[in-house]
Amino acid sequence: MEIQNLCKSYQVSGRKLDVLNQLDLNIDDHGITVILGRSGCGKTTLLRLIAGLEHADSGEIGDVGKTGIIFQEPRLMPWLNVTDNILFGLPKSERKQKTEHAKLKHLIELTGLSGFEKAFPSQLSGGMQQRAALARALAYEPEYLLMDEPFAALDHFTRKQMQEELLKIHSEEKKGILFVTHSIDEAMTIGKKIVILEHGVCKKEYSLEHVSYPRDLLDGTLVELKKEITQQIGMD
Amino acid sequence: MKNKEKRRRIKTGIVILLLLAAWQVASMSGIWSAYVLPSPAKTGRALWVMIENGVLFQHIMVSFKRVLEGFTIAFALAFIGGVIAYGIPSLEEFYGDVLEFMRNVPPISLIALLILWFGIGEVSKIIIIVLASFFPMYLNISKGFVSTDHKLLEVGSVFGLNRWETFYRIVLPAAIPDILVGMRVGLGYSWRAIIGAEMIAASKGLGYLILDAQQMSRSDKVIAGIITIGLVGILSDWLFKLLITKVIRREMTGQALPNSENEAVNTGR
Repeated sequence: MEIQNLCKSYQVSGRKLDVLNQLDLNIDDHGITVILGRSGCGKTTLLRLIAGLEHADSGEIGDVGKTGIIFQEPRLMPWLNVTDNILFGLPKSERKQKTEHAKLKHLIELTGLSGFEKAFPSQLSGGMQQRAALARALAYEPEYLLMDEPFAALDHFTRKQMQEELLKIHSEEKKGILFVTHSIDEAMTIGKKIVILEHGVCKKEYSLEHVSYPRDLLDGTLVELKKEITQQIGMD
Repeated sequence: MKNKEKRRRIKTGIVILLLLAAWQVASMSGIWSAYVLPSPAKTGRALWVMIENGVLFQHIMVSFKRVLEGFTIAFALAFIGGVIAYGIPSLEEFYGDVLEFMRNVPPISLIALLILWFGIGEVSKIIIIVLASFFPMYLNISKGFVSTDHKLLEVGSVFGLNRWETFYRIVLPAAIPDILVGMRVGLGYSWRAIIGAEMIAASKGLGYLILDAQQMSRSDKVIAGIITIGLVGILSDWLFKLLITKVIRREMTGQALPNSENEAVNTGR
C-alpha cells in the first residue's frame, strides 16, 4: 500500500490546523508497520483516512481493498453476544450459520475466547472485549488490519499478553497490519517497520526486519535503538 | 437482595395500615359527614359489591380496551415520527415546532372540540389517549435514534453497511432502552388521559364510574374507583415490565433496562 502526498486539515475555532502534511509512506502488505508518535501527530487521522472514515484534502492512498479496523475501545455491540459480535461484519447468510461457522471456531480459538462465545460485552474484561473486536475484524477477512492504539487502555500484563498473541495471530494469518501507538516499547516489540510521525510528516523510518520474534528489549542493539527513537521523538 | 425486597414490602404495608388508621380516625371524628368521607369499611364493602357483581371489571375492561387501542396507534405514529426525525432531519424541521406547540396543550382541553367533531363515541376518547401518550414516546424514540453512539456507527461504516442496515442493525437495537422507557411513560399517560376523558363524556369506563358515583352522592364508590385506578395503573406497569424482561431481555442481556422511575426520562411535559 502506497501513500503519496497525503494532506488533511481541520478547522478548529476558525483556524486551519494541518494534521497531515504531504505525507508519503509505504506500508508492507504482510508485515507489521508501526506508526509511532506523540499525541496529536496525526497518527489516528492517518488510520481513519485509510479506513475511509474520513476524506483527505488531497493526496493519494493506494488501493487498500477491505480493511478491518480495531479502535482504542473495543466498540462491540452491547446487545450482541461474543459470537454475534464476531460475525457482525459478515453477510446475513454467513451470520445465520452461527456456531457451525467454521471460521468462527477457528477465530475464537485463535483469539483465546473459547468458553466466552455466549457472553455479552458487559460481562467481559477490557482485554477480552478487545480480543472479540480483533476476532470481529479478522472474520471480515480484510487485506489490512488497522489498529489504533488497541491496547492502550489495558493494564501492563494484559497488554504484554495481547502483543504476544497479536504476533502469534500475525504469523498465522499473514495480513498486513498498520499499528498506531505512542509506546516505544510496544512499537519495538511488534514492529517490522517503525515509522515516526511528527507534525503530519514521516520523520524517520526504522526497519526491524532482521530482528526475530519474540524480542528482548534489553538486548544491546535494541537498547541503542530505543535510545535513538526516544531522542527522535523527544526533539522538536 | 431478597431481604431488601421483603423489608420494602413490610415498610409499604406499615404505611398502608397507617393511612387506613388515619382514614378511620378522620371518618369517626365527625368533622366530615359520612356522606362526604365514608369509612374504610364502607368503601371496602362498596368495592367488594362491585367486584362481586362484575360491574368493576366491566368498567376496567372498557377503559383497558380504549387505552390499548389509543396506545397502539400512538406508538405506531411515534415510531414513524422517530424514524423520520432520524432519517430525514430536514423533514422534521417542518413539523418539529408544531409538535412542540401541541405538546404544551393538555389533551383534555381539546375534549370539547373533539366531542363536537367526532361525537361522544369511542373516537374522541381514542384521540385523547393518542395525544396524551404520543409525545413521551415520540421524544424518547427519536432521542434514542438520534443519540446512537457515533463510535458504533463508525463500526457499521467500516463493515460497509448501507443506511437501512445501519438503522436496523445498530440504531434500532441501540435505541431499544429509550423506546421502552417511552412506551412505559406513554402507557402511564394513557391511563391518566382516559380517566379524564371518561369523566367528561362516557357511559362506561373507570372515569365514568367515578363521575356517576359522585352524581349519586356515593363517595364510597368514588373512593373505591380511585383505588381501582391506582391499582390498575400499577398492574399495567408491572405487566409491561414483565413483558420487557421476558420477551426482549433475551435479545439484549447486558444492556440497561428501564426499570426505575427515577432515571432520566423524556416525559413530554
